[in-house]
Amino acid sequence: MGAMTSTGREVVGKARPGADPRIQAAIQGRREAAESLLMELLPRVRNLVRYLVHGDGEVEDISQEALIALLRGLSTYRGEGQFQSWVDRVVARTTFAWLKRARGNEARRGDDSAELMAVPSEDAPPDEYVHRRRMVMLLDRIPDEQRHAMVLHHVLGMSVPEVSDELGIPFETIRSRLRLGRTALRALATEDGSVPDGGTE
Amino acid sequence: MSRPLDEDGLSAGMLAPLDEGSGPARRLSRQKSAALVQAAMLAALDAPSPPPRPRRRYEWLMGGALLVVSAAAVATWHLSRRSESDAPVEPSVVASPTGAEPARPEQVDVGRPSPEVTGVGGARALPDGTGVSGGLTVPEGAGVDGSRAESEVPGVDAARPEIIAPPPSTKPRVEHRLPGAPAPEDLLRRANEHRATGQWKAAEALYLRVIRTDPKDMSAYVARVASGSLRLEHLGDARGALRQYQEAQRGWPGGILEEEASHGVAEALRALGDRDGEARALEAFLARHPDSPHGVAARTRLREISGR
Repeated sequence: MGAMTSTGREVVGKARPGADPRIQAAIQGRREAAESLLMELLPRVRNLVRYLVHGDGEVEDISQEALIALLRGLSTYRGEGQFQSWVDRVVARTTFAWLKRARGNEARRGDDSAELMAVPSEDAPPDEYVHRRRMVMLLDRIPDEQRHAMVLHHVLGMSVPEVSDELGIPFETIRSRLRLGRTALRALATEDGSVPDGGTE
Repeated sequence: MSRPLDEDGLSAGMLAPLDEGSGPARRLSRQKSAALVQAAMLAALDAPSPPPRPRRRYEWLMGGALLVVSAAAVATWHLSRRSESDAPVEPSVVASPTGAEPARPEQVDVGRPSPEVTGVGGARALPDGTGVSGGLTVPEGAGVDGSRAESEVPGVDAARPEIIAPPPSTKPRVEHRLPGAPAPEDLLRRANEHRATGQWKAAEALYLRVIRTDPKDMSAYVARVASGSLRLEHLGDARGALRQYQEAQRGWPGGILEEEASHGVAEALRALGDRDGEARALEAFLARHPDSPHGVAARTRLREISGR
């Protein structure tokens, strides 16, 4: 996702021409526009947060913090690239900051086994929601460092150098984490039955 | 769910590109989505520098935002019905909403303003317009109501039943406020401000005042649910909370805060130790709101107490 890379040369706090007019209106402080934008962005924000954090317990708290960060950061939006990419980056950074604050507090990692009840049985027709819930529950079982690299690369579409830049971690380390994460996720998916064909390379 | 492998060795779609579709975040009702956004707007725009509060802020702001959304709905509804207020006035009889008040029905004194509430635990009324920290003030010109929020959230819980606003009463509207008296929405806003600063009893006093001012108005509905929550969570009055929630359900069946009210009934019964009643309340709650964020916990609790 090259659009995520900022050169920092553009005018700060200005939507690019042709962009959703609500963006510029929100930057100018129009409340209705900001509200409308947030309502539209909320599902995306929540999905990204859930991809990045273990379990559902903190998703709403972090999402709300991300929405606040978006509102407060609107004036710094440079109008370059896709607005959604800027949003994704703000959300990811907010989430990482949250996780950093929460580090060491194991109580936050509550037992989420109850959430399996929200997933229909194997006999139920598969749909995207069920599939994503399964995948994210598998992600919950791999280490955070691999998970974060996987989400930025596969879900947000960042290149390995971009992931490296975003996380402040060496390129080779990211590659290694991606490799390990993919292997772990495949193994878990096979074990879980999400990849009945075996899912092997 | 077999998916072919992509060049990275992952099944295509195993980690789908991010979008606004459903999942992997749990489904969230549109009402709660609207409340979440409202809470963020309030926190970001009305209280620019709130101190960081790592836990439970979501629920707290959400509660405030629900009230804000509802208060806005009240304001809109109130204005739309104002023309009806010229009809002949008749007194209405309501059950007492509080444990501290007599249990017998109370005759509403029509045409007289409610007295300023000062006697509940040192409650005090703030002057109109006084800013209180906490970021839970009603936005100026707020025009968000539940039904609008329902139609604006894409891709979230499409199967969820529409939230039904309480139908306008066919009876003539009872107007209790004198010119210049605070509007119910102002009282709700001030109550919200008290909640934001932890002044539970002051907030409760204002909710009761809203209820007394016009017991059949939408604002009274909001106040009842808010009062129930306050009593249950902060005032240690589960019985009073139960009464408030049940009154809200009775007076506004299928109303915009039905989910909160029916969940509150179950929680209040739990606090009272009424396991049978709680089980029935949980069953009713789950039947009406199967996708509620409280659903998992409610099912777990129901299994726990019913032995299933």
